[in-house]
Amino acid sequence: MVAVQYYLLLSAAIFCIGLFGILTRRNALFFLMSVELMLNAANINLVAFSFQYGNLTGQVFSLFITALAAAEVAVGIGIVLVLYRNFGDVDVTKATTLRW
Amino acid sequence: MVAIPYEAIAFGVFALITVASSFGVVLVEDVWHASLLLGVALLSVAIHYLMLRAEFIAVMQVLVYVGGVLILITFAVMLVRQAPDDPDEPEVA
Amino acid sequence: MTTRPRLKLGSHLVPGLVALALFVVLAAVFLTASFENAQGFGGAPITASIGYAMFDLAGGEVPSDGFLIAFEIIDLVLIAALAAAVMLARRESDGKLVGVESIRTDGGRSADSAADYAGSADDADADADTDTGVSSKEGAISADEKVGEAN
Repeated sequence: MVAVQYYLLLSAAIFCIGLFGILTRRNALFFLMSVELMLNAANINLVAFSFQYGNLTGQVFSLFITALAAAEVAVGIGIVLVLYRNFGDVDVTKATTLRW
Repeated sequence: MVAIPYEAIAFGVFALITVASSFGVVLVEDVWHASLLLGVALLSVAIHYLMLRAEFIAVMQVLVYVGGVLILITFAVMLVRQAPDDPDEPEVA
Repeated sequence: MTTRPRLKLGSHLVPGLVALALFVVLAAVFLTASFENAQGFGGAPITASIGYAMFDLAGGEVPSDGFLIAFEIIDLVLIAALAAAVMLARRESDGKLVGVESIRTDGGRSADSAADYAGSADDADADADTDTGVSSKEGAISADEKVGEAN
């Protein structure tokens, strides 16, 4: 059986990759994908600890996180499409209407 | 006879696939390739769930993420992406 | 047109260092923590126990908390997300898309677009566009039409 530390390391690696993606990319679609990666890292953590302690709370919570991620992506896609219609681009640094 | 640690080998292989495709998602230039690599990463995360005895979570991962989220992202990529005029010129991303 | 995937490698020194530092901290914490052997679930039915836990029913063989309240809250959140996605994607009654010239609220908009925006506001109140100056009259008219349609 693989020890839980290795799953935690895997989850930390995926989370940091997603964080790196959010910090470096300017395309809104890359933002959405990086957020998906980070949510998956959180899910791996929850499921690994669920197995570690023989308790199902983590698995049920990861199901809820999956549902919230799906809703977040649905709203995010809508926002990306409106951004594209308004600014002709999905570069998040070009949406500066509320900034002066 | 030495017992072969199949589970550790499987974990190593799929952890490598997951981390490599996640790096691909954030480093690749074209957003379409990034969404394909995101599909690879999500499927290999589902395999990690299977190894953690979370079969239902794995099935839900494949159904919701790969079947729903990835399809939505693919539609957004198709609706939003501008084809680069010159293939040698890097696309703004 | 299919192209080979190409990497976008610029100079991302500071974000890379931030992510790497976070990973090093997390890895140090995880590798120095001590965990006993994993308990696992034995032969208990996991999926059935998830069902019992999600609806706060007794009968699950694997210990867990109850999640009925969280289930209902997430139900409401999903409905809100559905409404938000529809609101972002819908067409206006005159065939225009939301946001084409209508949500852009900087100084560059024309009077017609301001009137469209006022007409599509949900409260349809005439004083919603008192700050739009020249277009307030048109905005009020279209807002009144909107009220008439809604009634």
